[in-house]
Amino acid sequence: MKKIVVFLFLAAIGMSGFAQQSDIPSVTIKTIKGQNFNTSDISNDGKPIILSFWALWCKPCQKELDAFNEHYETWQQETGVKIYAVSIDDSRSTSRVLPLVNGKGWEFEILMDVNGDFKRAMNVNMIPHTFLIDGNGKIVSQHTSYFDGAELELYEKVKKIAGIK
Amino acid sequence: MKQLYFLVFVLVLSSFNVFGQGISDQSRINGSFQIDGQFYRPDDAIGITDSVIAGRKVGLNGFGNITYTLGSFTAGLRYEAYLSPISGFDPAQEGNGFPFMYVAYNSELISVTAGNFYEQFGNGLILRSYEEWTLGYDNALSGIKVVYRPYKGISLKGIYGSQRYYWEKFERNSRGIVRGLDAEIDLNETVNSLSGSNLRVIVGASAVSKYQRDGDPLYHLPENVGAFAGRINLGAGKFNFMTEYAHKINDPSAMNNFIYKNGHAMLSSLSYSQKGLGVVLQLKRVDNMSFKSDRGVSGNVLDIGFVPPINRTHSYSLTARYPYATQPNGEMGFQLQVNYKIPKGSLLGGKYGTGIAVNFSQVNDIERNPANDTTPVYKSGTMGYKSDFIKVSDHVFFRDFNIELDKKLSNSWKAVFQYMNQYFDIETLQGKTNYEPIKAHIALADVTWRMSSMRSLRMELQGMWTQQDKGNWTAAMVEFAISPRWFFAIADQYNFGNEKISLGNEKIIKPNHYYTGSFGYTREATRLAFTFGRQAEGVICVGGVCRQVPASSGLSISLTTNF
Amino acid sequence: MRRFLQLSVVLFALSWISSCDKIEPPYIQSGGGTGDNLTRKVLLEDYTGQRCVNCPAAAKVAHDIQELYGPKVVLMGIHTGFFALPGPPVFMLDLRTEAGEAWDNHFGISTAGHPKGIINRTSKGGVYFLSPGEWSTATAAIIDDKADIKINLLTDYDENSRQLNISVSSTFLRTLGGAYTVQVCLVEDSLVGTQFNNDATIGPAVIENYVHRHVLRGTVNGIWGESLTDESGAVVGTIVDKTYEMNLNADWKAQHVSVVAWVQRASNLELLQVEEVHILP
Repeated sequence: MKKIVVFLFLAAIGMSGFAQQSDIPSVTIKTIKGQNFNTSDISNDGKPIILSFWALWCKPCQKELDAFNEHYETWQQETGVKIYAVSIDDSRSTSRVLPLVNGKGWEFEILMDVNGDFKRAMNVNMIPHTFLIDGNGKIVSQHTSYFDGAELELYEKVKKIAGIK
Repeated sequence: MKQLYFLVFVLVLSSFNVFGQGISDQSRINGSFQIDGQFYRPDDAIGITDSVIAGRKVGLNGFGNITYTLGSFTAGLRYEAYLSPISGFDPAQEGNGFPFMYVAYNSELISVTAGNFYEQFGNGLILRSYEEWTLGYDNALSGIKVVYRPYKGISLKGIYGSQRYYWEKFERNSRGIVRGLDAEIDLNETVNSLSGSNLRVIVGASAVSKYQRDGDPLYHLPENVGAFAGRINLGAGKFNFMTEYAHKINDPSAMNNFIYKNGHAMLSSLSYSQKGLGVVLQLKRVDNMSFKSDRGVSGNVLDIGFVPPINRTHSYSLTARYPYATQPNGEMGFQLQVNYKIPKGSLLGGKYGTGIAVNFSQVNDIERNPANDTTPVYKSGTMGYKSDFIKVSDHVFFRDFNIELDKKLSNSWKAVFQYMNQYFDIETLQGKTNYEPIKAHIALADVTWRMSSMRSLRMELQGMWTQQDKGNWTAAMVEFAISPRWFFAIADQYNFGNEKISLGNEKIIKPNHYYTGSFGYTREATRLAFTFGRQAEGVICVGGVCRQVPASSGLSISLTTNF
Repeated sequence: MRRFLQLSVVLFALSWISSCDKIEPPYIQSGGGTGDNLTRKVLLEDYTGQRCVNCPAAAKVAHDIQELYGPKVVLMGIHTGFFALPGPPVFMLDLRTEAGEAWDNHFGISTAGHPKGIINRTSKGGVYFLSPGEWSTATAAIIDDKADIKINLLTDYDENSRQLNISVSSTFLRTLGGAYTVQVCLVEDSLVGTQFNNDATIGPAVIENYVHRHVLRGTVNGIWGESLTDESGAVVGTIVDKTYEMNLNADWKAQHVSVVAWVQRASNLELLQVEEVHILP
């Protein structure tokens, strides 16, 4: 079994393909309403996307999203950026995600990665882990951990790819 | 020598970074790795003598992932090394190799994975395979998985395989085989006439069965054990309701003392939320629901199902000091949480508004009565006991009341205040004997001063007051960060006021400081952090699984990156 | 037709996946082995301790296995590590032994945590110990194996002088290569002391008059035994005799003392045969 897998893996690397790839892998996770959602559908009409992994137990994650939320209206008006907040909470706390999101008044697209499939596909080892993705689905930059002020640096990059000085 | 292999592997991974971009614009290689290392030193004051270390001066846990994607095909490899495992991890982790390899094909209609994979059915009550690096937990399945989406809103899954058990290779009959089916229908998508409905309905059902040979001379054991679950998720306007019920047939095992009773679990939640307000009520009942692919083992291994605990997961060191762990043999609990944002400009809200979160949870044992007049409860080789579905025992495992305020004071000052009142049955939850249940008050303040747009200073002050176990604690921490790259922190936890002696345990714990100094550098997805100092004995829990961490002293280094 | 096929595949898969074995009482099996010396006897080493809450339940599993197989199973309770520490005034007994501690250390018992058992010192992937839930299956798997060695164990005890003479005569039932050692131990049964417990079917959380069964008290010929053959092994029919003389510890109750002797392979410590004899009839 092991040998076959290694062989197929190497064979796959040896081949070269032609399919157009975005940097966002295709993984089926859930929306906050419990519906299936394919992550390859993450898009924003060619405008920038911020993709942030978080969880209820992660304080810095919530601080980061709070900071995003404070500026979100302005950011959207200026650059059209869209924020996806992917909760990696498992079934112990999934039902508390929506009340928290509403309680905090977050306006982001919330996705639920209950078994960590998207997290693994995106190579997220620790949270908070935030990706900046351009209109073509390419990862422009990413950052793990959050301290106050990091949102300002991130927004400078958002402006750059949105073509705003 | 092993360290050398590991180094070579890391170098190869790094070179893929360059190589990956060279292959083709259409295919993609990416991956990540992480290395956690610890260097231990003796520290008599907290009980770490040379004989405790016993020559094991270094612990190293590391992993590396590579994923190759070509159109609809994906292949992945994961390398892990524990040389030797860092303190608190199971000694059976020792070793290195490729525990996770797969190839997968993905399309709109069908996905097929061969090799190792993770999967969860519904809430995971009867099937959840996952991995949690910080705990050293991994029950990946090895076999085949098929996900079939024949029609919009309908998804069918089938799995077949054996579970990972550290480095022990699967041999015929060495442990069980797991197979399962799951179906989920999103009625609003599937049924056209419901597509515009305000009522959202998603229903699902699953069946899982394990096979393990019966070679036991003492009992007639079931070789095939089945478990079934059904779930429904309803949403209407601001309300959301979810429930899942699972049933398992006779499954005598080391976990339930070889009793033949059926098992069941029920998890429900009802929530209401609108902008600025969220309320959620959760209920749970678990009865004889440990489900493992080897009936002989105990501990955090080879779990097929996952029964989530439903209490708040705390993020501060003292509020998280006594974390709850699910009791798969039986528990009944509930949780209520309210999140409210006091609006800006109101009397209590002030200029920026105030966030308030109140949470209460309690978990009791279930009531157990003898199955008949002649057999004591839990006698092995019998039905074990009878339990009424709605009856709760007086025995409280855990209670947690906490209230948290989240306040922005000005443009440069922010604060979080929290109070928690906890009851913790340490005998049941940590397997200790002759300890009184812990009754603790915990209070904390977490204040952030934003010195300039990119510089901030964060201060934490916590206190725990209790007469039981190790007594009172205080903790203080100061963290200076230059966002987004640098942080420096010093912290101290002080354990004092302890004269308690448990029966047969005459070790008097002297007041002790557990100080640490740490700093870290982060750039993009690369993070390097150093911590020097003492780690107090404790328990780390993520999800429903916990790991005991012994006291240690020394230097920890953690490096993580991806590409 | 296609739909019918799809349906039948689904139904077949369902029935296979949901297959269950509903077991009807009686759940407990009866009837064990024959006690024939020509099949191998099994030694179950139960690594235990008075402070270990899960150990009484494990001791009961060991006892159940012995009930089933009778004298074909030899039990030895080995008190080691932190859980066996004495602690007056609660824990008055110190049941630790030099050999027990050395074996615990060698097999990694305390690192993995009590209770653990070792069955005939067989190992899988370098791991010797098993959790109590695995003991019975592991015992059943080897108990009908043919014996390669026969041990004739005789004791002679004088109650006045407390002198104990032991004779161990090992016969090779077939030709074997490699080095073999013989290990002789003293075991005392029914020692009474305090025990922590969490199995309500056995007793309260603190059992004050717990009866410790089959307690290893010490070895007669060193921690790892003494040599029976060198690397060249022995041909079928070879008989090696060993004799030992000693005075029984004055604190031990002779009516509860037995001698346990076994022959093991020097390279991996696996037992080929074990015998137990009480020094008083």
